[in-house]
Amino acid sequence: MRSRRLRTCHTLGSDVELGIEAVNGHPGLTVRSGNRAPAVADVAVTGAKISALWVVVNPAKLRGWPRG
Amino acid sequence: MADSGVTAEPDGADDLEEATAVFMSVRPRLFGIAYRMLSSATEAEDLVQEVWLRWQLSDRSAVTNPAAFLATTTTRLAINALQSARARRETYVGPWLPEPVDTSADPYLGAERGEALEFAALLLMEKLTPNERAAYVLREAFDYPYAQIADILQSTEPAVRQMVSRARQHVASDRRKPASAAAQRELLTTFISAARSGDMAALENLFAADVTSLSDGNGAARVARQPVVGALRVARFLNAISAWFWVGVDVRWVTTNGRTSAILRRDGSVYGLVTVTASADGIDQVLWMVNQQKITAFSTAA
Repeated sequence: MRSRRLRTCHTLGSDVELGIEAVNGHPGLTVRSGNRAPAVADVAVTGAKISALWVVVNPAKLRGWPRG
Repeated sequence: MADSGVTAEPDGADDLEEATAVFMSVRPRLFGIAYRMLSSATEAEDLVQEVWLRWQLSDRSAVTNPAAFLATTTTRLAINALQSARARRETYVGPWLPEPVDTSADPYLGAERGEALEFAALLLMEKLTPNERAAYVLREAFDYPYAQIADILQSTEPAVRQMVSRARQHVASDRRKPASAAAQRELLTTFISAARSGDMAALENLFAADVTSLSDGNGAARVARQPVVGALRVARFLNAISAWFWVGVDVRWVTTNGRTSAILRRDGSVYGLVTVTASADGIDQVLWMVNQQKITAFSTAA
């Protein structure tokens, strides 16, 4: 479901972009739309593979993510 | 300087200025503690703000170490805040996740002190009690000495060591990493000299909280038949035997299984072999080989 949400963001159009940014001290994924970040994901990597993807889409938790 | 006899506001403005400067200098650290405790930047900000208010209102002339005072206030408020936050989160709809922080915008939080910050760690820390979490955060992310953590948590040093050790076991799912060969050699050397002198404090410092001392003597006289467990107990045990065990003993170093061991000789003949295993927590095992049948190989080598 979460991946579908990310895919949805990706296909939303030109104003949405997926990026790699520093999330909690290591590279994570961000979905940017204008000056907002509708989704931020912490990515756990084990070995050379992603072992967990925690996607935060609660706007109350993303107030610290305006575009710099 | 002339004394008018009237001191309306004794250094009032200066004092507040200094208080602000002191606070601002430790603010990133306070936020780092609060965020790791609460997994929420918003709640951490509120908490740091609360600390600032308390700092303004406190009798600062009575505070000898402002940084320690502020860290203590932050930690204690965070422990309380975490308790109520957990109660609130019970009614959160769907899986609860931490509030992500943009660490490129906060270099102190990310690059300089990146430990115990990623989601995996924050989520695992949710399983700890608030006190355990505080002890773990202060130790792991900020290298606070155990004694100071004990002060902050109004606990004792051994209790804090135990809390941190328990927390590590919970959080470090990829087990303790064994110490490097060089670190192990150094620990063993320090250990032997502390054990010889029966220095309890020095011994305890070398040990992980759940250190175990095992003696292989196959029932030989004066060899412990039960494992001794716990930093304090092992230190006491070594202190107790130090009066007779080391008399006339000389030590030689040898490499066994890729790690350093100490060969103990008395009157020219080998009578025991000691080694330690260690991780970043310190020595976790002390192994005594005093079974004569198993050390004959070293009798000739030494």
